[in-house]
Amino acid sequence: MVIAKFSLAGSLKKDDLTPKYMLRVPLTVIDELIWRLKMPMPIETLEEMIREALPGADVRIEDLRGDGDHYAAHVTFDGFKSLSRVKQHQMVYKALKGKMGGELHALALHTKAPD
Amino acid sequence: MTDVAIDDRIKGLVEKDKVVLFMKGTPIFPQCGFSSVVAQVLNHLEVPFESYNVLEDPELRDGIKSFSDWPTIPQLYVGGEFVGGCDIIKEMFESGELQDAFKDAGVTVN
Repeated sequence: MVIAKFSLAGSLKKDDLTPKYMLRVPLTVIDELIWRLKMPMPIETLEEMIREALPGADVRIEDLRGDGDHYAAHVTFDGFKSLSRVKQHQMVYKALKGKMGGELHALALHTKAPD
Repeated sequence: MTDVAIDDRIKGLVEKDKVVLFMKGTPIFPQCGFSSVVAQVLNHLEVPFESYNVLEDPELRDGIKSFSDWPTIPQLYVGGEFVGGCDIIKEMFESGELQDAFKDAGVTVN
């Protein structure tokens, strides 16, 4: 019987692992847990997307927690000159084609024009 | 509600109060670290502000993203203008630009 239980492991559903009292956890916490189970986004993909949209930009990305989900991006780009911070960030978000706020959970952005 | 209707509603919200924060949770019980930071900055500066909890209002949560052309929450509006999200507010607070933005909008800052 124990062996049969083990063989079930692959088809376990979330509810099987969740004691009934856990179901009272607020939805936001469950959201957060689901995020953690997602495939992380590689740094290289992020860098490529930003460089492609902002040619010649200096892009440096840190994986803040080593979990592929909380990044900080430092972007220096000629085209940022005389643009507000909001506009600069919007250009980077556009480069990420809707992944920010979706697939990408947390990306701290630091943008500037070269000195 | 249609896109136009939610845009009108948001326009009304950001024009009704001088400082408006769209956040996850409330200033007393923030439900996201980024929202919490911005609320703390405002409290530190003793700036009176109105806040809206997007977690209680899915229409607002989606609507504010397209209204501001900004993919994340929190979002801060001062004098009807979008000022930024958590990173920008932090940077502006540290450099003193945020305090200036409040003064320009006629908001007293501590």
